[in-house]
Amino acid sequence: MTAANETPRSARPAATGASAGGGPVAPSAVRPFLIRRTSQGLITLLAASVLVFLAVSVLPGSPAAAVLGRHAKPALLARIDHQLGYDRPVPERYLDWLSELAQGDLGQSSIGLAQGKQSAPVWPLVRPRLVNTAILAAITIALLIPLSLFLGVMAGVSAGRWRDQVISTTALIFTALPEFVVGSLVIVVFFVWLDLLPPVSLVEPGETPLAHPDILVLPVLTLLGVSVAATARLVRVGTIEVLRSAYVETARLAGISERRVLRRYVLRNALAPSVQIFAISIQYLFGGVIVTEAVFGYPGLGSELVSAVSSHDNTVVLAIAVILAAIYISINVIADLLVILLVPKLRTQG
Amino acid sequence: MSAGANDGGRRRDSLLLRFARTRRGRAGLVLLGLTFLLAFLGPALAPHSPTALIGPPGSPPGTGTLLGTDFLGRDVLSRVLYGGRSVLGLSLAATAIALAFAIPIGMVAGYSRSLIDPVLMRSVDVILAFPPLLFFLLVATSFGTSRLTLIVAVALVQMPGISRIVYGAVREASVRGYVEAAVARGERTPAILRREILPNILGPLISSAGLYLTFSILLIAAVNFLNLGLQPPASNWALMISENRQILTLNPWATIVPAACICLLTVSVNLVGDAVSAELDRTSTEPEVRAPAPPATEPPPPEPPPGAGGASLLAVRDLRVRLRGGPAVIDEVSLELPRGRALGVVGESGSGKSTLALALLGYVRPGVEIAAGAVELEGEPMPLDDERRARALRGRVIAHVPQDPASSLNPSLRIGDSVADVIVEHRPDLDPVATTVELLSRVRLPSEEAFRRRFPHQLSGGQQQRVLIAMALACTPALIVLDEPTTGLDVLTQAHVLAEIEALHRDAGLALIYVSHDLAVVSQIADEIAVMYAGRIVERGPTATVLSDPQHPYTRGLVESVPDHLAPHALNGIPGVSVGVGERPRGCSFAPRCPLADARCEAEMPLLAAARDAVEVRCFRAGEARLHERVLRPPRVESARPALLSVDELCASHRGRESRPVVEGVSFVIHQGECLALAGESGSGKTTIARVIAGLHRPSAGSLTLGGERLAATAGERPREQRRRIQIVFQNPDESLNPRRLVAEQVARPARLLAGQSAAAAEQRAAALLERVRLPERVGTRLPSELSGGERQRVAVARALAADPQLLVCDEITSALDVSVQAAVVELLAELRAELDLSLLFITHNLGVVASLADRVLILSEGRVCEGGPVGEVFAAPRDRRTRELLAAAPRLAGAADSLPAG
Repeated sequence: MTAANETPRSARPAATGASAGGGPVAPSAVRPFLIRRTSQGLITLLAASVLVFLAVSVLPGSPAAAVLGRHAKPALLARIDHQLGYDRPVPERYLDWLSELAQGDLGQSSIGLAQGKQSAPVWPLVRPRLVNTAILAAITIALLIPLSLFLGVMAGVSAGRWRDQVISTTALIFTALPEFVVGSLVIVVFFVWLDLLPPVSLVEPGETPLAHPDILVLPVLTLLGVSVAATARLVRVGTIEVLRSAYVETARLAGISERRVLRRYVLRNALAPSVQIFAISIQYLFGGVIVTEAVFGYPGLGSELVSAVSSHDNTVVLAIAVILAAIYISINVIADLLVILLVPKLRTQG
Repeated sequence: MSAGANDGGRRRDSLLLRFARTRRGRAGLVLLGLTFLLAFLGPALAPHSPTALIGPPGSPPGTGTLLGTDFLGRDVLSRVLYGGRSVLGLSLAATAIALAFAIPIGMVAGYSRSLIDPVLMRSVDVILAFPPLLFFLLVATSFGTSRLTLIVAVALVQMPGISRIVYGAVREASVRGYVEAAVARGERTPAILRREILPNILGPLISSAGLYLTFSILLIAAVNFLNLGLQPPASNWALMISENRQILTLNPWATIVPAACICLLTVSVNLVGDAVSAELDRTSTEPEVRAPAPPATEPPPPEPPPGAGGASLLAVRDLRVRLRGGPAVIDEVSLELPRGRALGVVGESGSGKSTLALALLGYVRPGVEIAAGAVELEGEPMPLDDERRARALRGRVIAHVPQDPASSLNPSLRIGDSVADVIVEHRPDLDPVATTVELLSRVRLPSEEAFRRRFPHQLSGGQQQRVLIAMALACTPALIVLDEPTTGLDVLTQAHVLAEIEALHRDAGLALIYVSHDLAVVSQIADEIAVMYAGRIVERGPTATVLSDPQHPYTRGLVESVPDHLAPHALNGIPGVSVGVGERPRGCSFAPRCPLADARCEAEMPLLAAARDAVEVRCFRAGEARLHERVLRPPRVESARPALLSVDELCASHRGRESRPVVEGVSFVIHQGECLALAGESGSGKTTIARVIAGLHRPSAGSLTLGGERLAATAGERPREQRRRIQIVFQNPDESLNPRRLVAEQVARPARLLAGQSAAAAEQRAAALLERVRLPERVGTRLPSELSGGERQRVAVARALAADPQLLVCDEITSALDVSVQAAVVELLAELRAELDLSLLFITHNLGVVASLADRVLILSEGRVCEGGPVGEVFAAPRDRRTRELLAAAPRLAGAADSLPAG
């Protein structure tokens, strides 16, 4: 993760030679935390899967009805429901699904089976989509973190002056814009008016989006527009808070040069809260990805989810929801761990 | 109560007005108004029906249609005008429902410490483990997509986040003094939530309501865009964007205009929300600066003759620091300090002494500027307008030691690196490690590597302050400015750090400027003293002369306010409150509080003029104010009165840390009409005992008896009569009153609840009590934020008296106050006690206050009583080692004994 790459750069002590700096992280404090936090995450994930399973199970209309239409014969519906196991009680079906999941099997697409296929496993369907979404998200995150750190710190350091006014006001406007609005507007600008970039992101089966970088530009721009603005605003607030702290005043009163104050006093202490901010932004990003993929017809998890929801393909909805929840929860765990590593007070507490 | 509602309305109005004056707030309000008009009145303006086909699909703007037609050939303009209502209406409804449910849920979870809390908050965690849009899709599709389900789904998605925020705010509010006071008087939980907590969390919630609304709009728009929401042919902006994508190249306006409408809506909501929260943030963090009046006095001659005070180490001439473009914070300050001398700067809070301390280093806090004057160090001018050049001098020629050591050290730097930073910056020729080692041992800290590699949080407060002193010494400056360096420290630590500073001054000949509100501390260190009031020096001279025969009435008031634990005497506080920046009177700033003030004092500002024996004073009636004869308090003759409260073998520990009790087997008795003091360092368990007696902390063992009846463990379990008889006043004046309720209402409440008075009688009683604690009548209709700390503590005392108690528990109630205000509060308590035959349990770390007020004292250490007895006996002949340490550490006005009448 890029956040991890940020750490050593800003946290590296200047060459005072007073001490080795950095220092070994006391494993005693970090390991139990990691174990506790991971198991907490797993429990949350389990609870989340119950919730999704319930929600999916009460969906009105079974997949069979969705495929066969409103006028299908009840007997035929019942037969397909039985094939899919829909006539069994929900807890039993959940346990089945869970034990399959434990073996790495996401189940069979309900719609596929209802259409009469012998086997329609979800995983091969979802896997390329997951890869595509991961590519989109990774590129966005790689740009998001440095951009919003740079803009946020710059705005915070010059708080109240014109540079801050420009950054903050622009950010305030962009934060308020929905992805599909930004997406539609960039399409108007870059496709309709300038004819520079494609309005849809077509990916041939078996290819990755990286084969045609031009189809990634507009989705990435759209996601960045919203997330950089929101993130930079929060980084700015964090920076201002540190700038107002007594230790920054003490450093200035001790005659420490402003460059050193920024590097060793401001950035270092603004970094830990920023990690939490990035975690929230990245989580938010995955929500935005759902819409953005729909705008550009980008073949990722989000567009698959939307089509699965509208076609009542319950197992696919379930699989994608659990994958997204897992991503969400791991982001939290990773962020908490990074904060522990970055804040001496937290990592040295026995 | 109607008064509360009116008050809330008034506050909100003024907030609205205030933020409407900011540029962003105004822009947001105008935009928001336009958008609402567009959304709700749009249908009336539409030229066509939103579903009428008026031309070929996707025709560009032109003849007859302002914005062209959509993918079916309908009028884009009409559909835009029709399309806002559903998006905005649904979002408003959903946000309102979410708030209506999430606020009570969060409040109950945050306030109850029972099972509800973890269960509820874990389930919130689970819901927050999904992208909100995914959760929303699941909910929305589970129940079909009607208007109602959309609203419910959006509300459901929003609720967990909102209730988590409410939860946090309630947790924070529930430990405040005013909530604890309500608990102690036995208010029922719903009343506490509604009266004490809700009004205080509403402000931040209102300011984030904009965010929640934006979020609702985004969700509803997104789901409509994904075609999972309202079904066509209904018109809404989000749906228009998605359905007209196929004609993007034919008529882009069919997409651009609805997109712009959504932008307009969300941006305006965001602008308003942002402006409101910025305004709330500003009013809660910064004291309001009154309308910046132009400075009353003419600016002094700006260019002083250069090199006039060349012989001295520091020369300050006519320094004026003001709020940017506004009134002066300090004015006409001139000082001279010879090499190796120590100057004490004293004054109440708000006198400008910290501003002066910083300005000596050419430094001002944000929002403040140096307007005139000059500072010279060793004959060289301190660059007051050039931060970079000033910084080269700071730390090298003149150094600063800050007030609060815990927050003044960089939490992510090892302390060795913090010290080394100063050396590397100014003295690259020195070896930073070796110098750091030398400096640490100079301030008597361990200097080995293991210690240097510690982080600030791994040090005690005294050690932290020593590190800061080491940093100040790093480049052997000629002068160190210490700004209240021991104020945040424990009494014993304070004595040690003071001794250290004194040694540096006496042995190493280091020149000091020691800024403090504590006259006793300053008198131990300073050769000379400068007394500041309202930004000006009012008296200056050799310490002994100034303290033994103060010329200025203000100095006299300060001297007479300092309690003395060895010669307890009646305190004479200074009446009134220090004037704020920008509201200083035309004449002498002290005139409104001065017993000697005459017409001239009110009309003219006196100049600082030589009085006698090298003393300068700024007063027309200098020298007329003589120290009062000290009225020594005779030790009270203990008449055998019945016991009121008996505490027997009390034990208590903090929740979850039962293995380390904070109070272990404490027993004592308070007699009727008696004042018992509990004294000891912080962490000795005194506050816990107070809280146990008030029924706020459940003891782990022991018993309490009030007038022969056994007291239940918590206030909620005690009958009303018992709750009435014991009242508590808390330490922090900022938190002891509910910020959102009028003073009179808060004072009347206990009279109504505990003394069973009618509303009218309680109101009258409140007015009488406010007068009794010597507050002007108008205070009753004020909010606590409009009062000073001393006034708030008086209100808290009045509130406690409203219940007509027999025992008043005072938990460090003067420790956050200025000495002069403390003196007045102590005297007030002494009076009230005599008049009402009150018993007092007075908890403090200040032995001087103990001696001025209490009959008996118990010295606590680590949760046990180590010594107890009549105050005079214990202080004159302490038997326990810890009592002796405390007594030795207690600061005393140097030369105080001289001014005592003989005998």
